[in-house]
Amino acid sequence: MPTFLANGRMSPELRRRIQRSVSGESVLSVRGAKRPQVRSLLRLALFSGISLLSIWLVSSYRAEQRALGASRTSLEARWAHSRAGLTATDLDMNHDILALIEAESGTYRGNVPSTQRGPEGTARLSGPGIFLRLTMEEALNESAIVARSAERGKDAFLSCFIAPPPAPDEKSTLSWVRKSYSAEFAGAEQLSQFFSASKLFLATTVLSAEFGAAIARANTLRDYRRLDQALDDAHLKETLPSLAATTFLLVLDEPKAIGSVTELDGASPHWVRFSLIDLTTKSVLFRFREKVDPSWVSEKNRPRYAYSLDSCALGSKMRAEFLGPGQVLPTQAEHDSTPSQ
Amino acid sequence: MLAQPVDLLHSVPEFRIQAELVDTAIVFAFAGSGTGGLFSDALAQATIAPSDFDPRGFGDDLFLKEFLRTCFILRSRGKVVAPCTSYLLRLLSHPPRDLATLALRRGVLFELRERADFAVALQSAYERLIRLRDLLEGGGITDRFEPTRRQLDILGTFRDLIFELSALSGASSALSRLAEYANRVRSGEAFVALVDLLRFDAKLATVHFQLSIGADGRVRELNLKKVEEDSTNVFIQSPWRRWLARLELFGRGYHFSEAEVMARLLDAVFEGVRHEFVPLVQLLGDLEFYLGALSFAGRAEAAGLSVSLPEFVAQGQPKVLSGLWNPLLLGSGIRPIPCHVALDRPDTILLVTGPNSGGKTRLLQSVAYCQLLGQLGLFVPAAEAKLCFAPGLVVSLIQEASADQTEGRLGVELMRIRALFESLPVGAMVLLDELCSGTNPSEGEEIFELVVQMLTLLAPQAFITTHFLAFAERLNQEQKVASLRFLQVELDPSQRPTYQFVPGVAKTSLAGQAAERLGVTGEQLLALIQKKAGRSSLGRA
Repeated sequence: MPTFLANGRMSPELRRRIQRSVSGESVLSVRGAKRPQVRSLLRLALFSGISLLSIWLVSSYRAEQRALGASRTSLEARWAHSRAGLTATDLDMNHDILALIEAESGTYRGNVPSTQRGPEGTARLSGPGIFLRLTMEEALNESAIVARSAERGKDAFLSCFIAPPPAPDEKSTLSWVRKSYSAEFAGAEQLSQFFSASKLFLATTVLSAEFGAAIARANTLRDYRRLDQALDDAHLKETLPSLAATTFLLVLDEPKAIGSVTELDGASPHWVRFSLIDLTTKSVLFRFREKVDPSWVSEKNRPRYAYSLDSCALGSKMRAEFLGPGQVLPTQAEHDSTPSQ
Repeated sequence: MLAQPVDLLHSVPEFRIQAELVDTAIVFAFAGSGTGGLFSDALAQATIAPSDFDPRGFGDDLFLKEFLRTCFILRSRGKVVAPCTSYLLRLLSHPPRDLATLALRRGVLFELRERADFAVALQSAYERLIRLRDLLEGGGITDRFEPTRRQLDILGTFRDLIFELSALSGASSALSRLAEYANRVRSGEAFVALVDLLRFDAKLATVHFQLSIGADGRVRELNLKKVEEDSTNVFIQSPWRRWLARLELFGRGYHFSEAEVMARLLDAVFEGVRHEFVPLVQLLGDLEFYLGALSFAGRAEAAGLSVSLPEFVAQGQPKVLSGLWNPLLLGSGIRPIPCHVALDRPDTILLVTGPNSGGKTRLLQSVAYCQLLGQLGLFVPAAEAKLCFAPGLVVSLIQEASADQTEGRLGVELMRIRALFESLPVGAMVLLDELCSGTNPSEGEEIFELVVQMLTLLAPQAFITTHFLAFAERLNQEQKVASLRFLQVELDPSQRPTYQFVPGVAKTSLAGQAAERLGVTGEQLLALIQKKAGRSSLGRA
């Protein structure tokens, strides 16, 4: 076997002996001085193993880099696509909302009579808006605001504010509240224009510059999957329209009066603040403070429906205060289609 | 395939060591597997030339070990080195039967005496050989840590040895065998490769540079001018090829280093010349034989004594030993006084008489050494010697009592005589000191006469000392035994021995003089007794 130790200038005999030596066939090797063959095989196996491992590591790394690149590109494209058409003001709306809550949750700054009574007010309520109801305590903490907004479902206040019950008595109100939770509710279409603040928070969170920076910082597939999942969880198809809101309805429940009774459903006598704010100008269009008291509800319904009935009655009253008397009410047919309890 | 033997001791060259075993041992030794005693073991088991001599008949009586220790002084670089004693002892106690072998050895020594340059070359070769032996057998701590360096040293010493042996070209004796061996090795491809490899080790490249020194004596500038590689050396390769060679070796299971490259090349080069190492093991013993003889001659001449290569004469011709001296005395630091012994024919029975401490026993030793060394082909302790070839040698000089001795002194004497006749071949040399001295003179003389008569039947070259002066004188007068001759210690006018020998029988053993010299006269003994008695009475008082 040729060897680099031998060369053409050497005699054939010397070349042959050198070849024998490096092959482990020389007399010194054969007689036990050296046994390189076994070591050579071990080294070959080790070298092969290390080579294969290296190849696998390199190819894995490259594949991961490709996958990372693809994930980044895909995520960035998706993120950019979701932000397309949105202005900086839109993307900063969550901060506006939080700032407004902070402002309204402080010392009550007094009632502001409606500046948009009549058709102008009705038109506003027909446009997209954000609704959020909080306790005063929750309003003091940003995390609590976001968490509370995600927990809040439909609220009888909003339903009755958008579409008040035909009569203020207990039976009509209760029937109306129940009806408001169904798809056949007379104000369902208009109600669908008001989004929970949680949708706004979801959308603005994943569309924020911070989220974009997180995408840029991501360097593992796991990071990309997490961010992608966050985008999925934001349900932008449903939440993105909330960024078009022009009106913010904020209801703040002040703490109940000390020593007052709390019903089983949580209702209790307390003051409630209501603010209707123009999100475009950040100006308060209407602010009112009203005390609710479930005592007017019958003993039969109070434990279970006092809160809803109080909320609905308050919503109706706020609507009346905002729009003024004789504004849009549900039709009789709509009243009739509502199942009674 | 083993190399041809290099034999300086036999007329027909042969391997006397077990060549194949030695070859294997050398391979292990080169690999550093520790084979201490490689040379001495191989030589201890080596065969020697067929001989008729039985060392049991003379070895102890001639103090051969002592002779070897004190007269065969071998040196290497000025220091005394221990020879392969057992091998040399066997050689010295077995003179060759083959006369051609004898002639060969005499020829070598004669040429070494004539050509001082050859003697110097042989001494240099021996020193290289000692170095080679030490490297192969030894391996100090540093050798074990640097096996490659040790192997390079071995090959370098081998190369130098071959060059030294080449200096013997032109020798007419068997020394020419060394030159032939060296020249054969040098002309081989493997040796050329060996020289190239050693050159490669010594000089890969020459770097020319220019050094500028500042006023303060410090180096200011170093400019590399040129790097020259010896393109004629087949082992010098380009740097990238050397690197590839290391990589290749690593792949083949060796170390990734320049040292490993050198180790493989060493391996390959050694394999080409390793068979040529085998004859060197045998050569070491041969060189010690001759260099020992030269040292013996040198020491004698330094003491003003002469040595010579003896002349061998046929039976019936006169036997002469001129300037004969005792090598054991020289070895013990005493300058012996040479004497002259001449016999009309070799096959005589010579009775030597004379006073005690007159040199009779020393004469027998000297004669025995002359015969032994002469038949070995070595220098004899005599300025001139005419010897007759003897088929055997029996020397009986001392009779020490031993603890397990079952016989008395006479019994031992008789057993000695019996053994003598059992082992003595016809025509051999016999040396007997004070035969039959262990019994009363009258009975001893009878046995003595019997022995002499019987000895004549074996036609020996016999030398016998005795204090039976009257008996010797009677034999001298009677002339019954034709081969009987008589020598006596010469005395000066003051009756002191001159350590020379003249024909005839001594009239006295001068025992009185000896007793007086040693304080054993009546007066001296009486004075001793009186002194003791006086001290004893004083103690009692």
